[in-house]
Amino acid sequence: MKPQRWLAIFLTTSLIFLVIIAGLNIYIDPFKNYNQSWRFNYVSDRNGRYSKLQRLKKAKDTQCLVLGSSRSEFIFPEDIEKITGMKTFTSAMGGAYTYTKYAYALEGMKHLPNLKQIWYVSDFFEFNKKTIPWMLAELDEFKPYFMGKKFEPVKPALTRKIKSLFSWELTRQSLKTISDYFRNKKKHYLKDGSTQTSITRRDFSSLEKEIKKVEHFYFLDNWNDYRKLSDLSVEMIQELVQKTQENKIALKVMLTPIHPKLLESLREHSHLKRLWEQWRTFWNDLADQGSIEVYDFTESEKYIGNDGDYWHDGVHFSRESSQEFIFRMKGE
Amino acid sequence: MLFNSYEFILLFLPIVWLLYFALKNPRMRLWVLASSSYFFYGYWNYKFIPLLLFSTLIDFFVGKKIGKLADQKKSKKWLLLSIIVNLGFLGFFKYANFFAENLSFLSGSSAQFIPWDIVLPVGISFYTFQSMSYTIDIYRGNFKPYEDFLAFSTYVSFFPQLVAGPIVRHDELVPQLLTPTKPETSNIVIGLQRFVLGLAKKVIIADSIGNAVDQALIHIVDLSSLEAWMCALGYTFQLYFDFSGYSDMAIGLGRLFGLSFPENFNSPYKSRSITEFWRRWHMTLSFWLRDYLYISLGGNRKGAARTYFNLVMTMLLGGLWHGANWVFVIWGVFHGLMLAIERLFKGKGLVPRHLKLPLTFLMVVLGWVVFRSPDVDFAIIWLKKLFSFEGGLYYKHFIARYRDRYAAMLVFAIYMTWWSKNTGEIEYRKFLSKKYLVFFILIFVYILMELGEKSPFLYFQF
Repeated sequence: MKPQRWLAIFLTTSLIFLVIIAGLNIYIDPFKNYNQSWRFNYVSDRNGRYSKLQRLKKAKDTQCLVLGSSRSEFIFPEDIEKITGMKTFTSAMGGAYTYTKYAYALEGMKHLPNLKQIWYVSDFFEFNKKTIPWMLAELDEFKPYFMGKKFEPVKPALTRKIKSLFSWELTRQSLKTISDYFRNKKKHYLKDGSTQTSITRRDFSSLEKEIKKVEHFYFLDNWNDYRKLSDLSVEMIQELVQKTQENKIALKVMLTPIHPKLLESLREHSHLKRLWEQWRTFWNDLADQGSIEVYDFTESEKYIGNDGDYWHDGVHFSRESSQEFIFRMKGE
Repeated sequence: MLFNSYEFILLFLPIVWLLYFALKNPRMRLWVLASSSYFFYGYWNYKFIPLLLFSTLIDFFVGKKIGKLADQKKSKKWLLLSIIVNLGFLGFFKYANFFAENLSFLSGSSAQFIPWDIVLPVGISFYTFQSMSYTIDIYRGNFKPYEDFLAFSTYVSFFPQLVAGPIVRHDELVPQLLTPTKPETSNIVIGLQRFVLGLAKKVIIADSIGNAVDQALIHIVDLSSLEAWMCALGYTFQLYFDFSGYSDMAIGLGRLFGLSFPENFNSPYKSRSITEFWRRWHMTLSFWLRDYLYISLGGNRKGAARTYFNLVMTMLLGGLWHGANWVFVIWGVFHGLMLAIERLFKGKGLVPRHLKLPLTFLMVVLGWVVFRSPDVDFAIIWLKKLFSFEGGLYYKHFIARYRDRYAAMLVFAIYMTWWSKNTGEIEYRKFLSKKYLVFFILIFVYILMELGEKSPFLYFQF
């Protein structure tokens, strides 16, 4: 092939590819980077945070608000209602750190007149975040809560837009959104904030194998630079305690377990073992001051088993486990 | 601005390249290269533009002055001025804290030492060496000074080689800049192919391996012996593919503008001795150290003992050039001693022929362990781990999401290193087939999609 022809085809084809990728990402806009309306309102991405907030504002009869990450998506409002009699809304969602829970708690106190209890489901890893990502603060309702807090450095909007235009992350999410659309796998939040219809229990024959797979990710990626309980998380928790007291709302904290196999690995890392104890002590100290009630389920073997009945996967406990926890929190 | 960034690939490079070819006047073309190079430098931190300009001005005028003087003593004074200015800047920005900290340690007041807040100007180690070699060459009478400041300043600041080399000699580039010509399309295509290959080496191989190694090294105390070796090997290949990838991109960029740069790597891990390694690794730096430091110290002209001393001293300073840290000093001395030992036992056949390559590679890897360590304590822990043989086949500290890619890329890197031609040896003409066209398009688009999580080149820190 002649060099001129090679060069022309190379540049033109590469350009066409890039235009297609950019066009797809702008049209689908899964992270709302390009101000497109949310065409695909799914739980799986940031849109979920927005739609959950709208649900929360409408659930006026809520008496109990659950705050948590994906690990608490298996604590179902209908189970809490059955066991405790309280009308419950769950703001649990994937990747929720302290700041997310903090923002939903404040929104809950603002919009839910019958709110009596907040169940704060605390994960060990939520304390490793030192800053708030700009994405969360972009929800207009949340902005005032984060004034004066530590944010991730915000890149100039234009640079961010250009940089994410061709990125794998965005393209993957765009393709996933389209695939979900055609497979009709839309996951919408129900009125009580849960996603009951879409969560199906998996039959687990090789849980241990699964845990081995995830432990690398958890220990070395998610918790990799975790050296101390982050000041940001501690500060927000203290503010939350104060605000619940002012509003006469009981704050109940549930320390979630991780699977014993994972815990065994965690304890092999000297600094993670120390942090694990610090995390528990932090909450128990607050409980000792009489500010909150703490339910420590970290020693899971006392309450639940290690097999597939109690663990949805290596990280998330199952509905059976959560029912055990609810009974114990009720005092049974 | 990084070569592996959207702003460089999609904006800066196409604009500069189109402008360069749109202009027919050679002088205007030179202006385009000079101004775009200063913009490129200023994009990182515009406050350091005067420093680059001042360093260039000093060497240009000192060169002219030396060229006019017949008196060797007076010439020497001017040369000293150039060396003091260049090394003064380098010393201040790069070594001030290091020396102050060590002085305060020696005086017993290290507890009170508070480091000065000094930002290291990117590329200063490279452009001061380039610029300084010019005045030394004029002083030695090897070359006449250039009359054209624009061409000289373009040489010092030219963006493809400004921040991390190759360290191009003035006689290799200035004559080309004085007569800038429009390159042939075949040359442009080769430049583009080399740029894409360099980008692939960096983004696909070096970064994949580097991510896994960086994550694992955070847990150095908990690593098993096997993991410590995997980190050492990983870094060995990461550094090679990162830096040689950068050099490929620089050489490719040069070709896009019709300019030829010297090769910087020639399959260094195929070396059968440390002496050979330094003829193949970062060649432009080793030749610079040889010509301007080793020879200035007396080279091998002053007896055996002095030769060994010169070798160790050259490598010590070469090590220190990489950064103000004791690990670079140790790494430099280690290589200097290896060179001296090889020279001492040269021709005595102490090492069987088939063991030469693996033994050289092992020494290089051990050197990189020290080089990569943030401090001496870390290096000691890592080296102990390597030879403690504890922990069995413990493979925990390589994160799942990096681990498989790390393993695949390590195998690929090993294949590319020992069983494949390097990017300087490839016949680029064969890439003009349809098959390779598809390969280059796919790889280029893939890399652009990976750039969202770009990481800087390792040699930027030096």
